Order: sequence, then C-alpha cells, then structure tokens
Amino acid sequence: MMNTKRIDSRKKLLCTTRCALNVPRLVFLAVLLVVATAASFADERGQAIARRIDQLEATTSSRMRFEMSIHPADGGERRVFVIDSYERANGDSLASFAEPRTIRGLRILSSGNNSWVFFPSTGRIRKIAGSSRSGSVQGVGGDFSYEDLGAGTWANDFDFDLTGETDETWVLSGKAKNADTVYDAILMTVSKKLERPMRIAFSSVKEGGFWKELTFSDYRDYSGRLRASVMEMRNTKTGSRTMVRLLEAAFDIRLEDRLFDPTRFDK
Amino acid sequence: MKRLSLFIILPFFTIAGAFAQTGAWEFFGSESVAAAMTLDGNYGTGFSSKTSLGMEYTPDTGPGFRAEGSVSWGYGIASPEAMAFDAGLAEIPAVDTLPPGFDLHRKTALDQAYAKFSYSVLDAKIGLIPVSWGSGYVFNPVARTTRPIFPGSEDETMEGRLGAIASIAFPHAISLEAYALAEPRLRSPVPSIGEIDPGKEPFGARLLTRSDSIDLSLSILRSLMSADTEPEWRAGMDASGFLGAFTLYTEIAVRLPSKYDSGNSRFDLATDVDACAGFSYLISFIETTLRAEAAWLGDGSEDVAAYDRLGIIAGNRTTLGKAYLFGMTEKAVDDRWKAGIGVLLNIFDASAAWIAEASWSPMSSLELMITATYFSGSGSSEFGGTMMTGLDTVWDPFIPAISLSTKASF
Repeated sequence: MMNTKRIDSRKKLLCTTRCALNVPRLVFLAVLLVVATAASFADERGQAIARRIDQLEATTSSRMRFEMSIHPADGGERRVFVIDSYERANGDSLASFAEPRTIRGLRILSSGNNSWVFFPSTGRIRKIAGSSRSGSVQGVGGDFSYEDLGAGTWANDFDFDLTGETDETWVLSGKAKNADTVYDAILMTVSKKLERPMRIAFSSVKEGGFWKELTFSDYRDYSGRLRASVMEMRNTKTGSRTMVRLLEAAFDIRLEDRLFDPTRFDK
Repeated sequence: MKRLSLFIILPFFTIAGAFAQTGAWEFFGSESVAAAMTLDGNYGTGFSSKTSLGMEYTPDTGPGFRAEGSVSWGYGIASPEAMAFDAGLAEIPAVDTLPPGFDLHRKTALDQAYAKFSYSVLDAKIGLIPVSWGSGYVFNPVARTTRPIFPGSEDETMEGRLGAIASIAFPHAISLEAYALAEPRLRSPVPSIGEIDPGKEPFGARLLTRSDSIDLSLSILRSLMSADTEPEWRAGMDASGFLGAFTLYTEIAVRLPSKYDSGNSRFDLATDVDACAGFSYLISFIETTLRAEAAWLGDGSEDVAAYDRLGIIAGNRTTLGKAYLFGMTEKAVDDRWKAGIGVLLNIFDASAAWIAEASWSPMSSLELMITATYFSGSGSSEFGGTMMTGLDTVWDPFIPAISLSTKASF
C-alpha cells in the first residue's frame, strides 16, 4: 500500500512538471540529464580504473632493489643510487640506500604522513615534516621526493575523473583528497591492455601547475607480478630527469614488523 | 644501581656468541685532505688528512657487526698539538723521549665497533657503541656519554663508548631503552685498578615514542665526566613535532640532587638546567633550509670574567657562555652544489662564531669544499677573547681561517 501511494505521488509530480514545461525546455533538460549522467558515470569509471590499478598493484608486502640514476639538466655526470625498498599493505615503507658510499646505510621510514630518516654513522634519527616531503630526498636529490618514495594508493590519495579515452588508453584526472599531499592534481594515462599507468603528470599550485612527469615502461613479470622495470621522472621546469630501474623484486613475503617500527627501524 | 649495570652488560656477552652466522660483509670508507690558512694577519698554514674505514655485517638471522675507525694527520695550524705548543699550553716534548713509532701528527681512532642483534622485541648492541640520544640540532643536553663537542662540529661518525645498549619494543611505537657504559666521557690513556666503579659508571634509560604527531622521550641519565670525578644524575626530555611547515624540537636535561652534592647545594634553575629548542623550515620551492636554535647551558657563565677557559683546554667543556642563539641557512642545487652560512651567538657577551661553506660534487662520492670561519666579539668575550698563558704567549682558540678540502667516499 505504501509503495503504491509513493508511485502515485511520483506520477503526480511528473505530470505536474510536464504540464508546466514547454518542449525546448524539455529537450534542454534531457540533454543536461544525459551529460550529467555521463559525467557521473565517467567519474565512477575514473575512480574504478584507479581502484583497479591499486588492486592489481596491491601486495601484502614487497621487497625491491632498484637503481636510481639522476641526470642533471645541464648535462652533468649522472649519479647512481641503489636502494633497497620494503613495503607493506598499509602503506608503510622503508628505503635503505646501498649506493653511493657517501650515504650508504641511510634509511627512510615512511608511515602515514610522517617520515623518519636514520643516519648510520651518527646513529641519529630525524623526523621529517609533511611539508618537507615535497623536497628531494636528502643526500640523494633527483626528481623523486620523500613522498614519491613512500607508498600509497591512487584511489585513496586522489579523486579521479575519466577525462579521455582512446582505443588503447584511458586518461584520468585526479585531484588530491588530502591538502597535505605534495601534489594537488595528477593526470594519469593508463594502458587498457595492461591496466597499468603508462604516464603520470604531477601538478601543484606552488609549482605553478604541471611540473613533473613520470613514465612507466618495459613491464615485466616479477615473481608473478607485473611491474614496470623502468620508470623515469622528468622535471619539466628544470629539464632534469631521474630514471629508476627495478633490479629485483619479491612480493607477498614475510617482513618483520620492526622494519616499519619508528623506534626500531634503525636497529 | 651497581647490580643493574652488571646485569645489563653480562647477559649480552653470553647471548652474542650463541647465534649462528650467515650473511655478507660490506666495507666502506673515505679519504679526505684539507689545506687551511689563518686570516688573523699571521697567515699560518696547515694541512690535514683523514682516512676512515668501516665494515658492516648484516645477516638475515643472528648477530650483525659494525665498526668504523680512522687515521688522521695534522700539520701546522691543523695540528691541535702544534697550536697548544705555540700557545704555551704544553711543553714541546723531546723527540727522543717519545715511544718508538709515536708521532704526534697522527691519531688513530676506533670510533665504533659493536655487535648487534634482535631477538623478538629486544634489540641490543654490545661493544664500542654510539649513544645517539636527543633531538637538538647543534646542542644535545641529553647526550652525555662522550666528550663535549663544540656546537655544530659533530663529526660524521659518532664516537662510541664501551658498554651495552638494549631496547624493548612495545606496541604503538613505544620502546624502553637503556645503556650501561664502562667509560667516562673523557677517556684516560692510563689504566688503573680504581677507574671502574659500577656505582659511578655512565648509565641511561629512556622511554621513547614516535607517533604521527610527536616524537617524545623521557630519560634518566647518570653521566661521568672522568674517572676521578663524581657522577651526575639528570632527568631528560626531548621532543620533536610539527607546526605547519615547521619542524620543532626541544630538549632538556635537569640536574637531580644526589649524595655527591655538598650540603648547601640546592636546585637552581640557572645552573642545573641545560635546554635547547629550535626549528627547521624547508622553503620547498627554492629547496633552502632554515634552522634556528636557542640554548641555555647551566654550567656556563653570564660574566666574561668568570669564563672557564681552562675547562676548554681540559676538555670538560667547549663553550663558556650560558645562553646561545644559533641560526643557519643552507641551499642545495641538484645535490651537486651546496652552500650554507651559520652563526652561533653568545647572547650575554654578544660575541659570535660564523661559518660559511660551499661544496661542489662533480661526481658521485667526490666532494670539494671551501670553508671560512670568522669570530667576532670584544677582547674579553668568548669568541673574541684570548687567554694569556705566559709572559709572551697567548692562547686563542678561535682564529679566523679559510680551508679547502676534498673528500672521496668508497
């Protein structure tokens, strides 16, 4: 009985509305409705694609060794860093530097919006402010910031809209959910075949818009997981670029809790 | 407390030998040379070099090991001994009275050599261990295990002391850490039967938490300046956190009454508290860091006439004043070019120590640096003053100088 009454009242409302509108208005509203529905659908698709990428990249844990080479904008000699990285599903990550020798043993623990840096020779640990995470990693430089080296999920960090599509790619536009993050917005090009990002442009108001661009290439299978073996971050303002090559990777392995404990990661 | 110290140290030696060893060794080091010239009109020159070597063993399971040591050489104004002889602080020894192979130009140091292991929630180190407590950048009131270090001149490798340090981890990033050492802050090269007294040896314990909002530790410390002095107890606290884009920190160590105090000794805020507070701020769009720190040192003096300059010679202290301000800014470009300028100001006598540095790293692990130091202040002030050591000899620990250095790491 209740349902019938509701339907009746809706019919009544529709009838009243129709009677009150002329035809051009009706067409206009119909178009608006289609556009709004399409936009809403695109929003959902954008976020869904981001979630899909997160889902495919999600692991309970990972241990990776990668080589990072920094190519200065002025053509100066490239610098090579070798980093052991440990991550777990909640986003905590630990980066330990094996090369070069000047910073060998330096460790960066990222958890939530916090990072701690451990300097092995002095034994000191320094807490890094969230705002400092936009800066390049101390003693390393390059175009990756502390935040870039930390872990996170796209769908949690950004609200995505599907703003473009070709036969082979989707283009997602993401706006930062948290004002404390380094990047205000990103533009991600995703391979439909691989369901993985191929290119990401990063923007921040502080930097005057898009200023960093990350490309992924040479996707390979690492113990059952598809990962880009080459990533390149290019600073479009300065012309410098930093290339990362994945040397080894293992996923869903057991990692000791102490690696991610701020009071123990230096031990 | 005697029993506690022994109970902490002894089990570690036993446990250390019980683990199986698998893993690989890593070796690392650096070579640096520097040429310096004074800018006081005398244009004294000096040359120094330092060879540092280290090794580390990090197994998947079982105890690991780490050691760092160095051999350094100093000639001319780069030799503290030469400067001391020149100032009349010590007599120049006759060469034939020195032991064979002994050379005052050369110093060898084993800074760290310790085994480390983790067992469940326990982490421990035994041997020549560094104790790196505190949040301060240039002053560290709770760091009371090694010789006093001039603010901001902390070496790349922290000097260790013989002993053990252990920590127990609790949930929510809380840990309880304690150390017990067999050496005072100032080492004596001459051993004696009475130099070890478990009731006086350095000891420290702290409760530490590192959370999203704040890193905080509360500590209790017993420090010993030298074997023939009485220990000092302090309660310590240090914390660091954020306020907007600023990283803020503070550190305080309050002297506690003890049985070694004289009868009329009462707590006095002016003399029994060492404290510092400061901030750092990264101007991200130009990658420039600003730092500032204020410090109150209880055993310093507000009166220039009461400055304990002999304490610097003895190694008991590195500063004379009671209150300081420190400020610096540093800028890095592509991590190849770095430049910075800093100043340490004695608030009461208005004297200041200035340092400016610029470095260039043409390739990975190679650094060329130019450093200039300058000291300003009146003739009786800390950084502008001198001390008469004889009829015609003067000791001036703060002489403006410029130096060029190169360091290669391998």
